[in-house]
Amino acid sequence: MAEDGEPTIGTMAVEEPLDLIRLSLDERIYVKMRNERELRGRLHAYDQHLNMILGDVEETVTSVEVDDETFEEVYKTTRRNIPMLFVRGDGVILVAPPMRGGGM
Amino acid sequence: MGIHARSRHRELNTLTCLVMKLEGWKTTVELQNDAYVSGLVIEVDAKMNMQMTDAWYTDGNGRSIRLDLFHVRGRKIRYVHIPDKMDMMEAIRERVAPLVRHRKVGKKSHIALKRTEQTVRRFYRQQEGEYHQQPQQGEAGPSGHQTLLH
Repeated sequence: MAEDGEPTIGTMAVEEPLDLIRLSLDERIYVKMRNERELRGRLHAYDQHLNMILGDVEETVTSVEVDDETFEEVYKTTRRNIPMLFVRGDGVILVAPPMRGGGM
Repeated sequence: MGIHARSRHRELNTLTCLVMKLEGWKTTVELQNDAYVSGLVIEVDAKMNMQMTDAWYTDGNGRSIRLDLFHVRGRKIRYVHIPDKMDMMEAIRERVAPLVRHRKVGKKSHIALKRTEQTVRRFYRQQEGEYHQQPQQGEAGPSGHQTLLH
């Protein structure tokens, strides 16, 4: 189905955005989810709905609290680890390689 | 016929088939309302609607309640914990292979039947291709197909 002149990575043509996720298979990725959640794990499988199987995943939940006295915004994060997780695609906002530097 | 074809298509072309293979396993399911349920999975359908038994339902505040039968809409699920002992590739192969091998090709006058046939054959061919090739990543294939890594 690949036409001449299409960009190729190795022997596979990159035809649509989902193909870019294919390149991250078996790599560690960063997934931003709804409700201020983030996942960092190894991508084992995905489908067109962005249902994913992630291994060795760390979930980060971020919440904001306003201090009663100082009225400052306090960001709180909760982390936990799960060995193998199936993620339902309708909660996924974006998929990216893990970010280097700040925010790790 | 049309309903079953759509169900089969949804099952074979997404990762739902893997969740369906969790029937009989004890696992934890996290819901979109921040509650989680730990129990024995009885049944999962192609829309990921799930029934569990001997389930402990813990709500967002941490309060737990034991339920003999728990049913949740597939859309309301956020995560499903996969048990360590489960072999995922084998589970998916078990799910897909029977549908292909024992299917008799009859009169293809019905469009729904034909579509199901094509989907199943295409998926099986793609799986065979991946298995023999042993690539780093899966084949490109038409859009909408799941890609798996051994």
